[in-house]
Amino acid sequence: MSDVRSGARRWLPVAVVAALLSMPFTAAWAGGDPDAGKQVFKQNCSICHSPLPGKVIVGPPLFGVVGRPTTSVPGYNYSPANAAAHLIWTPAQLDKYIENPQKIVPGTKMTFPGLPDSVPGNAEKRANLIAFLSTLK
Amino acid sequence: MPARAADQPQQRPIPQSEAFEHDEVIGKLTRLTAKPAPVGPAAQKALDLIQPHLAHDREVSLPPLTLLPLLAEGKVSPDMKWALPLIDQIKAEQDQNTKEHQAMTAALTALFNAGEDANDPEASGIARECTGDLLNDDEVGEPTAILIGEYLRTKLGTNQ
Repeated sequence: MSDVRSGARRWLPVAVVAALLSMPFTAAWAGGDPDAGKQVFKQNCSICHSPLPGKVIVGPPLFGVVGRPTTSVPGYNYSPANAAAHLIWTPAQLDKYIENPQKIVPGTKMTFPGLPDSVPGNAEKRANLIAFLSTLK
Repeated sequence: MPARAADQPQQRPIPQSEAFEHDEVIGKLTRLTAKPAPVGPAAQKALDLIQPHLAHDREVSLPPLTLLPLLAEGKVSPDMKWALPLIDQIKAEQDQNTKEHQAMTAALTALFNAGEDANDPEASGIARECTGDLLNDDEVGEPTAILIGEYLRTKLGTNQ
């Protein structure tokens, strides 16, 4: 009997992880439309950011941004706040950052106010934007 | 009853390069306000936010920068203490300044988009240029003023 219980304890974490992995993909940024996201990019980001590799405007280029660490564009002078953040721009992290940049990286010099959830439709805009950014590779 | 001139707080000079840059920004945005929609109204919204912000910069953030050439020559004197209250004000207003920069960035982004929609590269270019100027404040102007304050306090041995 005790062997059964200890076996259950041993396998419980594995079962939990397996169950989590089998859950439907329901993150807020999942399922975005990259074409719609291109418009969100144009309307909110393109004043400062290029989608092309190596092209610095006011901010760093966003080509390849999904999956890269913060402060990883060579030659771009990032803020100390961004340098200390040590984040990886996963879709989930980008979603939080774009929702409220100053909350995720206090002191960031990116003065974009964000696409906060308090405005209806912004969660979808972020999802679409991240879907577009994911194509920049 | 209007205040007498003697009652008005004296506005100190600012670096001439900054004064020139401010006048350029105001002049360019003002010129854009005369254009038809969507550029004209978008430029007016940006100007309505930027003009008072720059006026405040001229009163508070920029005068301490006139000390830079003397400090770079190693010249520090007690009559430079006038800058310390201004620098304290800059530090106290950092959060408010960030909020104003966010609002101006949003207005400039709208102007940029208006320029793109109207196929007006001059408008888009001016919007982008102004965004770069805002970044200059955050990267250079404000930290330099704060550094001047720290340096003065160290050299003058004052906690005032």
